[in-house]
Amino acid sequence: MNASETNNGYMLIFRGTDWSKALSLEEMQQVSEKWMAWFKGLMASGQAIDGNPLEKDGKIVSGKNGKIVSDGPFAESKEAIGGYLMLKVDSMDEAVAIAKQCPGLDYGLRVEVRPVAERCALLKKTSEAQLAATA
Amino acid sequence: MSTKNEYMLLFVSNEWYNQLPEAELKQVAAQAKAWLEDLITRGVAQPGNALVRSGVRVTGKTGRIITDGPYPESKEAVGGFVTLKADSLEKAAAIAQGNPMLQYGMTMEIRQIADVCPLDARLRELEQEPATAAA
Repeated sequence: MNASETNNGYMLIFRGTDWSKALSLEEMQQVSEKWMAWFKGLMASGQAIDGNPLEKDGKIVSGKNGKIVSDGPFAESKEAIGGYLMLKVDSMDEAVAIAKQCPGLDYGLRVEVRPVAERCALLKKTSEAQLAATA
Repeated sequence: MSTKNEYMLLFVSNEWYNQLPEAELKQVAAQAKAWLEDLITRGVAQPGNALVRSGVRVTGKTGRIITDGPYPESKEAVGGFVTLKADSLEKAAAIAQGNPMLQYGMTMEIRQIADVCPLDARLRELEQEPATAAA
């Protein structure tokens, strides 16, 4: 990773929408409380600035001209995104430390940690090409 | 279902822009920029974020495992997102169909922002069925 890039925050992507299926009612209540406390704590400290769960039933658009519209993603997928959190912390290490505390991990949820980019890769690539051309 | 009229539009792809010749790159960048800026100006989209291609995955039911990911070549990686305002999932998907980057193999995932975490929604369902919950 490029250490000289400016810090634009980090995104936690929660993957796996099925992890709570096997839980007992009691376990679900516990996880729910822990998650709420974790989320509220992060928002209160300013380490998190936004976060949302996502409805399971979505759409996938693909193909030239976006011709193909299908239902998705599959709820059983371990990769399906269940929600996200936007973090405002000083380093990747801090973001990962927060991710490690996610209560869902104990039940098989996976957390992806991604630094927010300064700008869209496509636009960045275009301006790099332009710079190279004028060099 | 969620009462919110906000939808996450996820940009899912590999780094297809690294393969394009410069002229084509400039063209699609201009088209994509115009498409997004138009949506933002009309109040349909809110600028989201691009994400750095590298990151980590946190998993592990007992103890935490950190692995590198997603891989830059992956077609499944989330490259960025914007938030859309729309009256329905179908309408949000229709907006997504206009993305000029789709012809390069990108897929768009459209997910409604939920009112309540699905875990909590399920919990409420179970709590309202005392006979089933006790089983």
